[in-house]
Amino acid sequence: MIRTRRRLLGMLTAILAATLTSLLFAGSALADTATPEEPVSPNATAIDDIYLVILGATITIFVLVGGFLLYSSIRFRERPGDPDPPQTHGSTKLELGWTIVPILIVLGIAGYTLYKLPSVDDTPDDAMKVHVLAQQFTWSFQYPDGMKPKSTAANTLFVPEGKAVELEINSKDVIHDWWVPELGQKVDAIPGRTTTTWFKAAAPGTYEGQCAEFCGPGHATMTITVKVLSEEKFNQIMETA
Amino acid sequence: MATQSHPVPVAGVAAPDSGGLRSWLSTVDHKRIGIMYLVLTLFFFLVGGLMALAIRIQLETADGKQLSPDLYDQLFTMHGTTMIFLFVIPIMAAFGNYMVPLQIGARDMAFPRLNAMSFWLLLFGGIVLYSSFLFGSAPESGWTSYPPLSVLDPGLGQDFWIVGLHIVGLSSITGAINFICTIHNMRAPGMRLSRMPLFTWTIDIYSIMIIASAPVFAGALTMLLLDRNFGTNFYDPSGGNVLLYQHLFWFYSHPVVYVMALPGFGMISEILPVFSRKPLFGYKALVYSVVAIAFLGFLVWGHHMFAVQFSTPVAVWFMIASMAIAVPTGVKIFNWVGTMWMGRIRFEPPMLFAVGFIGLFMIGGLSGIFLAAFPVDLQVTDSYFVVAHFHYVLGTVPVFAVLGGLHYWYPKMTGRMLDRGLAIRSFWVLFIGFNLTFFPMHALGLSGMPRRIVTYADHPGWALMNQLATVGSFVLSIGVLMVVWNCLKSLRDGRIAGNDPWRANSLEWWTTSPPPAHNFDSLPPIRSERPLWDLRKAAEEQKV
Repeated sequence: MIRTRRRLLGMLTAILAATLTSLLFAGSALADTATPEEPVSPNATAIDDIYLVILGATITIFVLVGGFLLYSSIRFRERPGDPDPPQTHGSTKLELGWTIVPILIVLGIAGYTLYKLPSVDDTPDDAMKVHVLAQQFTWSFQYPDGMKPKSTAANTLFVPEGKAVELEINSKDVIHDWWVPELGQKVDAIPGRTTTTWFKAAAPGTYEGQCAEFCGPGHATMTITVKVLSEEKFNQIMETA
Repeated sequence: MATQSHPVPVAGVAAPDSGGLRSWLSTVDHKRIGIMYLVLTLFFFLVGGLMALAIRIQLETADGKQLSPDLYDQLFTMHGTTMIFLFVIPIMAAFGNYMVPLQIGARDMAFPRLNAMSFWLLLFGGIVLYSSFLFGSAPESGWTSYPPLSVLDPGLGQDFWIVGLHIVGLSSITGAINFICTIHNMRAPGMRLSRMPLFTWTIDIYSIMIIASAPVFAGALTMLLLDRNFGTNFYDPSGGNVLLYQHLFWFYSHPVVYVMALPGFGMISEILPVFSRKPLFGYKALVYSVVAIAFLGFLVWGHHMFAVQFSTPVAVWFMIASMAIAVPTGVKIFNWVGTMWMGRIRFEPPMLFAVGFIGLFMIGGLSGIFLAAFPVDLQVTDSYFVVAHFHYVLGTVPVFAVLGGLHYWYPKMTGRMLDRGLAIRSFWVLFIGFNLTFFPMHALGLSGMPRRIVTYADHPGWALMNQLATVGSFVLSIGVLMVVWNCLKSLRDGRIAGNDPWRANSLEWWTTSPPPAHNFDSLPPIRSERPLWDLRKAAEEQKV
């Protein structure tokens, strides 16, 4: 009995150590794994903020409750000759407590989410409207005021840096989904409906995404590239028809 | 230490000879039907698992070329369909069939022949689903099969999928009616609802949820069938509503999450008190929380659909309702820990699986909060984060809770003990394999990998995390094979279990292992939710 007890303790310690080291290892090797991609747009930043608050709350809960579970598993193991333990059937006070505290935590998380919601949802008034049409298995873009890129690349959207862009999205055939992680929330492209999303890229660069709603055998190839250019470069590559 | 002799008078007689194949094919005995359910659903589990391995092999490297997109789509469609409809939902009916009549002290189910029909319908539905492979095109629109994709898909497989699921649905509805009638009409004298074992409680709620939701799914499927073959346009963007299907589908499929999870919770609630030598901490709170989860489960389907862009009030409602489920779920976990607290814990294999389940299920529960907060959901939904989340919820239930139940009740079903050492080793292999497979998927989703893609570009970290998952899936498979081997080998070599190897609480342990066809010769008095504990206590006091 004592031998198996020691073995179990040993095993639990080993698991704990393995988990911690792998977390550390993962942390240093892939700094960005515990959070969404580094946001470059205010809506994505707001989502990240909500994410981090939930991450903090859930990790705390996991460590606390998991700690109790692990402690009970080790501390209250049967020893030979132990009498039967006290037969407690419950405790109204405790049980009320662990009903009310989670309610408060959940309300807190919901409250913070609602507080941040406008920064995720509200499209700035001066946004440049781009119409996006999804179809198996490509994306095409229609810019405002008859603007057109002089040379188009497949599935590539060009936008100026620091300018809010509103996307009005439709689909020609089945449901697709617009998702560029650095630029914030995804949204379905639904035949017969128009959905919208927006972003405001802070820095020039190329941001990759892809269709996130399964849309058929070419789903994996339905990539998205958003090229954010300086105002000047953007005007250079665009022509007005 | 496991096979302590029964401290109370032995009831029942040895089981009659198991008889030939014919007696199994024609049986209406709830225990035999339960065993047949168990063998069939575990078979489907192995098939679904093989398909998952093929998927993991394909995703092992960036730009993997082992599978064509069509075959890959068919495999993930059938993996999900098999695991949910042919494995996790019906394996609860397997244990329910075997254990519910025993736990309430009944002779059999209320409708034995209807019970046999439920089983045969499940087999028949499974055959229909899989026969599509013979016609060269298995379904390939995902287990969710959203239109217009599933309407436009030219393959016959989609129609097989619809018809197969209709039959499987009929099987679960008839089974559910049977459970409800059994539980509410056939309890032994003294077995009040407030003394019913938690597992039986969860099977009751499981059945009510199936009856309330499955017909809605049947309606959705019928409209899909009509749209595909008879020119109707229920889901057609011109005239119909594309999103109608999603609402109906998730009105069924979200409650189904709890249909799958609640009986698993029930098994945990049976195992913990027995191996902690204490009563359940807060029996009533546990029952209320099961009911609360079931009720709330019907109000939250929209959280699967945030990406279709609801108006803000609708999205806020679905967020708050979804988060509310965290409260009763938390109550269950706290009460489980409360049951172990100050107990006298024996880490027999069922207990190991139960504690492992609580730890891992917490991860799935907590990652659900991210998905309920809809702005975050819009970042991570339809990515591997979701795949990780639902495997920590719906994969832990069968792998840890149900296998815990299997280790717990195997002696009752077969009369023999499983090999303890092998069982403990298989637990650790499963535990390591499971986490290695599914934990990295959180990170994959956060770094932008969508689900259901046949290949992926070599973005930083993606290949490494996919490789971890692939290695993990093989470790997990070894663990599953160890359990299967243990079950087969112990049929012959296992130590004789006796009536009550765990010194347990509920009525199924009163009779012989396996029980005779008529279950009980006599029943003990039932004065609490632990009739056998009460008897042992009374016997001890007499001795003193």
